[in-house]
Amino acid sequence: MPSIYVAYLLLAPLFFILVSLVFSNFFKWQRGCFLISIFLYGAVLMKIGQFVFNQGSLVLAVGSWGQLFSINLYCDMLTWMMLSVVAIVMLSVGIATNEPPDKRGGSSFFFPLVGCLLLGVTLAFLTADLFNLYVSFELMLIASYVLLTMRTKKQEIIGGLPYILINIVGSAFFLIVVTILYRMTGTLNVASITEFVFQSTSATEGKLLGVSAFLLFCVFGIKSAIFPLGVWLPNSYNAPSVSVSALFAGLLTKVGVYCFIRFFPLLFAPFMENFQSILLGISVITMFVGVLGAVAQDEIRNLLSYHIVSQIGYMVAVFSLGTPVALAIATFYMIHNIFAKTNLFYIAGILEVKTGEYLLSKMGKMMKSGSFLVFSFLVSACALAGIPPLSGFWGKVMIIKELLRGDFLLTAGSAILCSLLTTFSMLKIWNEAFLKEEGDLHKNVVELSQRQKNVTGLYGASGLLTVSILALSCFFLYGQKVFNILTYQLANPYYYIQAILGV
Amino acid sequence: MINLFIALMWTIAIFLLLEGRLFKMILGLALLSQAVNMVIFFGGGASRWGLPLLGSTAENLDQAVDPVPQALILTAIVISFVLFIFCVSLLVQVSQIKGKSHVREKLEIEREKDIDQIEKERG
Repeated sequence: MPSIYVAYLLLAPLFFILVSLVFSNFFKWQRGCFLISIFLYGAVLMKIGQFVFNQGSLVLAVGSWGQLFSINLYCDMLTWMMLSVVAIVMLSVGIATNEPPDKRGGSSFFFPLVGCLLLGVTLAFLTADLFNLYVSFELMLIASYVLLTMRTKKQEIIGGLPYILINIVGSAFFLIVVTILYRMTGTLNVASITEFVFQSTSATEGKLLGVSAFLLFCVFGIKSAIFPLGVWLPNSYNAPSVSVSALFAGLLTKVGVYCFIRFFPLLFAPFMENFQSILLGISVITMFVGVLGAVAQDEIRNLLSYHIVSQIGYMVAVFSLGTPVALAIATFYMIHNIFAKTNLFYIAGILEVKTGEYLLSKMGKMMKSGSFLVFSFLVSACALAGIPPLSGFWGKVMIIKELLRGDFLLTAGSAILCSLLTTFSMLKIWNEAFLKEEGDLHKNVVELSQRQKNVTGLYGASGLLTVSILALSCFFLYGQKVFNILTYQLANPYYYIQAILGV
Repeated sequence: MINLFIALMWTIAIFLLLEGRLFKMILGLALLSQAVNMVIFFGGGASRWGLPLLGSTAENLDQAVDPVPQALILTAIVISFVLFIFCVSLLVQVSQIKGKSHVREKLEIEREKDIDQIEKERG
């Protein structure tokens, strides 16, 4: 039965966590097991991909209670694409981490925690049940709390505290939403709730759905760092180690955007027009706050973190449009952002190893350090800024076209303006770190040469992601079939209901 | 009546969380998890006078208590317990940073230290 492969996607990280806990004193074995499990994960994904391309979707009813009653794991084109991106990012983490970021008496729990994160993210992408989504969020969040605060310095814990506290409140909100929706519909199956929402006409139900929409918007907004709820993001990614911050930058916020794309058009389909103006306004503010904050930063990781916020603004803007292609465009833009951001964080790590600094004002002369670093940075920065023919250009063109088609001139204008400012901040990194002649390069030659051996992993990870960005750019030109499948599956909520409930 | 009480719990929990002092934040976290569990219990339709599910027959199944909110509460309690312990250990570590006892002020102390360091090195 082909849908059992979906279960293998969850079993692979689970077994990896158990095995790597056995090897907690041997970091190299942990890393080897991690790479093996990512390859198995990728193999299962390729097998699932065959089914997704031919039949459209796979549904696994866990526990064999029947698709109406059991927790369903649902894999369609959107999920499959996100999981492949997750596999590539996790592979880059496995390549990049050749030293344990936490050294506590010899045992390292970095890879088991990354395995927990992988399990949580996979479950979040696969699930079609509301409470299962909550559980997967908690798995992912707890693993991320520990990864974020894993260093021993107390000062660095402080960056993680707002993240943890706001996410606890967000989880509480999620439980309230689950309670409301369960009480109204008697089920936690997202497809059944969607059917109920389409048939509900009474005013009280409308009000309750409005309340749960607002709370769910807060929950997903906290995860994806939209402007009023995303203040935890910018100053929290400069504390953890390179692989951890790259992983978080690429993956965690995009899980929130995925939940927006997947669950909002399903659960609140009749209300999407009402939300449009609010969402567009919030996205414009998010874009500007993110990019203006980015331009003002001196530390490179803070700059990149502010960028994440502004790019999320683009995704929310196009998500709120409600046209059939809008969700597919948001997906492509999200995938492009994952690759570009993660790559930029790895490059920030390489710059730190080579110059000993995270502050841009002290770096310099990196043009001479090697052509691979320059090429990799140029590819990711141009992709992010939206320079053709890289993937960011196609994404932004599609977004702005959709905004103009809907006559949202203010949003389209601010999208273009923020693009310019994004280019400006990328130029800032380029000037300060690469072209500038002063700077304290090679402050302490002995110390830096001892750290050089860390760089091969980071170079490998950055190379993988650069190749991914280039592949994605070619894909934009030739991947029309996938885009069509994605549009067809996402634009119509009845496709989801039919796939899961078979009605 | 119980709804007012739960709303009061929520208000006090969020207020305590925003206080910024160590012990009050711990209390706020504990109260928040309790408040959420109360919401699920009273909002989810778990009645206090239903028959237990295991002994029900097919005829009086509609008088049996709804087990799903109870499962939701159990999961939420377990997860929030872990979160609570982790947060308490983090807050205790933060409170050991020398300086004021206000966590929020410690955040500002650290940011000022960073800015001072940058300005000193810029000369």
